[in-house]
Amino acid sequence: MAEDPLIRVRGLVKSFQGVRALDGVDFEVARGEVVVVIGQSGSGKSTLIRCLNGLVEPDDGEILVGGTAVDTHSQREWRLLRQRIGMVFQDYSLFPHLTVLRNITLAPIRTGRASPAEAEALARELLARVLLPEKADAYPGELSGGQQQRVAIARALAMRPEVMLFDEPTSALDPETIQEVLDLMRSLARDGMTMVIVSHEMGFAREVADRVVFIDRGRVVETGPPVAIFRDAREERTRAFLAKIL
Amino acid sequence: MAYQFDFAYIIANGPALLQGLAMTVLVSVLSIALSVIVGVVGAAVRVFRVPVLSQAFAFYVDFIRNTPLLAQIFFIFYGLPSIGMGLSIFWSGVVALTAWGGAYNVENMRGGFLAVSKGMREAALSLGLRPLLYLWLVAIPLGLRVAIPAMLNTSVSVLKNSSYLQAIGFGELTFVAMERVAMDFRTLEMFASIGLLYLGLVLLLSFLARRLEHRLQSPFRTA
Ligand SMILES: Nc1ncnc2c1ncn2[C@@H]1O[C@H](COP(=O)(O)OP(=O)(O)O)[C@@H](O)[C@H]1O
Ligand SMILES: [Mg+2]
Repeated sequence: MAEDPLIRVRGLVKSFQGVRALDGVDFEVARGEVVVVIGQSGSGKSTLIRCLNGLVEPDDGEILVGGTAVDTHSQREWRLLRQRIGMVFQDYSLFPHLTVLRNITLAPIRTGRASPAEAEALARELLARVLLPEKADAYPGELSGGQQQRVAIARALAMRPEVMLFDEPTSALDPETIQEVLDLMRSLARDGMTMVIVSHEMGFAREVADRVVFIDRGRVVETGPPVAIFRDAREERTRAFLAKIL
Repeated sequence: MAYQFDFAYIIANGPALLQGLAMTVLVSVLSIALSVIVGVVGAAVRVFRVPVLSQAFAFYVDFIRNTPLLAQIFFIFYGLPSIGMGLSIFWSGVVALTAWGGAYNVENMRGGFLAVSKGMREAALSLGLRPLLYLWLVAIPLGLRVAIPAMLNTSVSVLKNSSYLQAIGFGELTFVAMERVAMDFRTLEMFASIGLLYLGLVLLLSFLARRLEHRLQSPFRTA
């Protein structure tokens, strides 16, 4: 029997002051799968990914994590789930008043995951992994955008999440630093991390995605392996979008 | 005949002035510290729209800002005893100044909280932190940085306004001066002295606040 998807979403609906951001979205991510979500600006990608960790509360629809339905109104339930779901934002959102090390150790310590010593050891391990071992005592403001984003990824990884959500992680970066972040995400994918990535980096999507999901006007228009989407999209809207962006 | 400025008179009254100064410092430091706490708590309640409490703080802020401080002091010292909540002169003074400074600090800190981006909250929540931990570890330290200059102004006002407490017989600097003047009529010497002492205190307070601000800003300077 097939394992339950790690995250499954059915009939997700969300409106903002009359604007339908999500209009009945079905979506799922299997354990170990890398899903890249593509679509025009304003199509609902962020709203979808933010529903997956409770930052946006849907008006309707259901979300199952590990086969269990989430009470989407319960902030307490989301708080516990968020300890298993990492999130990386476009603007990194590092805490500017804390050193890199403290940014990374804050949540493991404060959620009771780890002792300060354990958290620090893990943080140093993760900093080595994101190739910034010498930046432990730096403040975010002293780092380049790409370095900050790598720290933000390390911060999320420090909670040892089962899945990582990325909302346009390279959109705010200078072209020179985009690759260092994409390289890191590639290596996470290779290590089997489950990932949902909203991205406009089509080359990257083609290379690392197990599956691509194209969203338009709050609906999933088409989904499939990268070749099927990038070469042989069935839907006209998908082809039109790709023609514009590629 | 030219007025003879009498330095010896000031020296002779030195001990009394120092005692008044000590009381001024004590009531001001206590009130400033407490009013910062009131400000942070009140602003958090306002910004996070805690039901009932948020409205209560809004009313409190409006009430304090739209009534004279002297009336507030009289209310606390003369009014509260009639409902069985009488306080000593000292604590009436602390409560009055704290209530006054706290109201302004609610607004100062509210501005600080509003300057903390929504992304900080989302980042903290996304890590599975409780909202109160976000407040304590992220919003308060970041918001305070922004609010400190305004809070310094309020604190200076609290210090200066402590002189109103002489009206209820609180033995602070102004009270000491008034008492001496009533006996000796050396108004110029006395009021010049306390003027200089107040000025010194305000400069010291500004200096300390700037040091604190400098320290809190250090992570940002390198940016
Ligand atoms: N917090 C919000 N308030 C109001 N409208 C929003 C909000 N978030 C998203 N929207 C609207 O919902 C639609 C989808 O937005 P979003 O999910 O951010 O799209 P994308 O990430 O694909 O660019 C857009 O029309 C956007 O303006
Ligand atoms: Mg978006």
